[in-house]
Amino acid sequence: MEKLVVVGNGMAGVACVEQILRHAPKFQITIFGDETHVNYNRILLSSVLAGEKSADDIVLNGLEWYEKNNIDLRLGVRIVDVDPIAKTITGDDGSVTSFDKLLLATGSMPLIPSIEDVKKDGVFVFRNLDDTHQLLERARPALKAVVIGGGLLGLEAARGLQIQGCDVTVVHLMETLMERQLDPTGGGYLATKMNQMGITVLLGLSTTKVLGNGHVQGVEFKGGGSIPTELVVIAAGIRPNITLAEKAGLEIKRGIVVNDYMETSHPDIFAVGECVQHRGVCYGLVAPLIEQGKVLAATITGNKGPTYEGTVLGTKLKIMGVDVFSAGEINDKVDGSEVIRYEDPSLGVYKKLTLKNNKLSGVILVGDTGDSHNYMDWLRSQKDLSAMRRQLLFPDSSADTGLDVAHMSGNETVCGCMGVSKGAIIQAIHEKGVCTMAQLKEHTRASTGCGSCAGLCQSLLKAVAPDFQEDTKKTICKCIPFTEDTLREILRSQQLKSVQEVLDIYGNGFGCEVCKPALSYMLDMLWCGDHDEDRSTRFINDRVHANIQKDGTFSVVPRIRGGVTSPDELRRIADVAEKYNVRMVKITGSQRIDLLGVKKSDLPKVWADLGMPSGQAYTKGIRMVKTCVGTDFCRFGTQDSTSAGIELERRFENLFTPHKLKMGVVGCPRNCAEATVKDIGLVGQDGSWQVVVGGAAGKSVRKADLLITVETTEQALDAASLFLQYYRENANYLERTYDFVERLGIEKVRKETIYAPDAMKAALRDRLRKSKAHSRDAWLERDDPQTATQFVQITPLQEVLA
Amino acid sequence: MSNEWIRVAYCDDIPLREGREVVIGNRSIAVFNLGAKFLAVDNRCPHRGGPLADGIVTGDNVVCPLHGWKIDLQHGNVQRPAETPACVKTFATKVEAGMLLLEISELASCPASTGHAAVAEGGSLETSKERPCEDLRFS
Repeated sequence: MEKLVVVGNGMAGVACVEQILRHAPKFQITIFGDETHVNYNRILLSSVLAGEKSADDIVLNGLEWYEKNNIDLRLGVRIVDVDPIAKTITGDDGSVTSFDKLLLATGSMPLIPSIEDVKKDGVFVFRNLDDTHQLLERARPALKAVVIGGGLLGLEAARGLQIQGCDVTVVHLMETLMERQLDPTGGGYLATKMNQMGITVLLGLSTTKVLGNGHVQGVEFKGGGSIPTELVVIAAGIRPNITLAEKAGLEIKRGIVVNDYMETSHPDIFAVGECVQHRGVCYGLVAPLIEQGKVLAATITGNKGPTYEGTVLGTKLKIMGVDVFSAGEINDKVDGSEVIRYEDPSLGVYKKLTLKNNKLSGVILVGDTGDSHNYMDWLRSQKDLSAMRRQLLFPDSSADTGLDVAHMSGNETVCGCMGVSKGAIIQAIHEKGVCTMAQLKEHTRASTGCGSCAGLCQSLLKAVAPDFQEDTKKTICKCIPFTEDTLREILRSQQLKSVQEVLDIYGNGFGCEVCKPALSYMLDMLWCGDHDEDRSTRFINDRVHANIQKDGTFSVVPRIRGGVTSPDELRRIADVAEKYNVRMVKITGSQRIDLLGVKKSDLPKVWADLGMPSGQAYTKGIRMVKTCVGTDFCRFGTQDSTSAGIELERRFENLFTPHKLKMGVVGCPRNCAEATVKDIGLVGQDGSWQVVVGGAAGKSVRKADLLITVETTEQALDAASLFLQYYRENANYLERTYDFVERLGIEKVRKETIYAPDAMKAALRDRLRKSKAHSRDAWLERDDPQTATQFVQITPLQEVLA
Repeated sequence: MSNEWIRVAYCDDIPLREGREVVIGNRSIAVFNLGAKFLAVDNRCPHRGGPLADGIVTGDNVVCPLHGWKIDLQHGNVQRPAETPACVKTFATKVEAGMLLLEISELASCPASTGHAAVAEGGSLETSKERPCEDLRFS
């Protein structure tokens, strides 16, 4: 068997080996990787930095894959020399390995601009998993960080550091961000968006020097200006790693020159990926690597025939909340070009299409990339667009909903990164019985790159796979045959305000114990409390504002904001407990006091005697905020968690939510009040707050996801408000935040809350404010009951002889 | 067996599609306003004794607030869980001059339940045939 040695264990090399393995077994394969990790998805490093994925999440092929395919994997060995005549390579460990065929997949190296003192401690590049881990180790809230380079990678790095709480500035040499993909207008929209996220962008600045004594303390610019910083990330671009190819004497220009069969100038040495130059182009994205790998696999296995013709590049910026897409020709000054443009500055949306002879030649989308798929297809197919000139900027309003899968042709690409067509997916479904996303990923590799095609893959599976497990939302119950999303839409558009009305028109007229409370919630939420409240549709707890117990009595939990009470309140609670023969007085896990065993008819009197508001411990609503003592007393406290917790509770109390909602505020990462397992948590740190959401410590235990790190308490409360209202409006009834956040993914939640366009954020805040204004302490019904018999037990009108 | 109609409440005091507890002697009875009619049953779920008057009404049934057993208010039989032989006692109702009346045959103990329904004020009283509730599960 011939010996194939692969230098490079990255995406290109391993993807090519995957393709080679699809041909008849021919080689004994050895792969060298200078990193110590198995094959992982380099594109997703920015997601690791942003805390959205772990290192394990981005593994493409685990050790078992190498074993299964009898691949000899040599990690941590850098190949330093090659002898093209003896056909051997030498590693930095002194090992010499002979080959019959050599595949160079050495990728690229970070381009380090000439900056004085660039080797200081605290200066990093962002290229591999180790770099990412180092950055994660250094990153901490309020740390000043500078990213040099405002391209794709630089912006993603900046965003990741900012999510870790750093105070980030992007310094870019050019006047336009991502100038290789965007025009000045698009770059302007992007810069605005980055600024809104709290990232400072400095344009047209050349960094000349790293300041500091040993450790970085600042960077200096051409012309003399400087800014202080404690961390520098250089993301100024990449250049093909051609050192070995030079030693092998291959033909080299910028990269290793290959022909359409992916052959180099040496018959037994091949190259693939970012290190090659094909028809004058060096690629730095995934899609071309995959296409090249397929061609190379055919050539190297003796099935020479397929050719690589270059790739039409589409670039997507993977920053949640900042949608940027660019493909094709950016320069619109080419003769015969027509430009079609759309801008909405307040929404932050910019679209520009460049056409030539009624065919698409370039696209730039900022703020709304929903149609990128259509455009990519038009670019690749060079479809004549003269018949659709009116719809070019808004080609298909149903694009995101998955309805467009049906319109796609079989050879249209679904996964741009891995080059998987609709036809290939359908084939896998039919021939391999693929019916889940996991199986689809395994068999076709679709959706294992940047992941932006996951929605399309899902709809395709749903449409084609006979055994596809429906995981879309179900209807609430049999009484009313709509999903909750649809129902909300119906109620909104039809201006329905009472549960019975909804049931009469859209349901079976009766409703049940499942749909009635759900509809009550929806109406309350949709109309911000201004609906026709019908208590018959509420569970007993929400009719009498107390929690029913197994013996039909009720428990009473007064509001003790932030868990902070007073001797006076405690005295009243004690008096009430005695006066009404309360069977048990219990300190709850939520830092509240529970009076158990109160008769329904005593409830109004108990509330009056307590003189405290309802703690809402009985409802699907805002429960409480648990706090630690914070800076007031704790010697470790870094934030005033009690004040923040009390304010948080005050702002949200009395609101209904899809399911109960518990919060926690802690003054330091010791997390004494367990904020990281609450629906909403604020974790104080020196100079900042982390806002975390979707935690749970009940039937499920889940650590909350980081929503955002902010400096001030007010910013933290605002982020919490945006999340709360978003949850109120979009979760299914009885869906806790931990299911909600997991279903949507924290990236989507961030994108639609804290990183939503200003107009959307303002609308969320506004609706929350309206709901809050309509809400009131439920225990005030003691003096103003909904009905005369709300709390009473009826005694017969006539005397009855027993 | 002497039957007695007892005036228990003003109809207005029982909100539409809600139940209320009426205590007659030592007996707790749940009365429900279903719009077109009033229905009354023992205020005690056959499962764990939950207060049926506090349940959510669905059609002619009520769902116990404790564990979700569903009781048919017309006949007193358990609708959910299915195939549960237990039942609750029902009481005939009628409306006169804005007042709700219950027919109480015997206050201390009650034999097999009867299916009765009162139509709204002004209508005629409709009394269904007396049958043991167990049979109704199969009807």
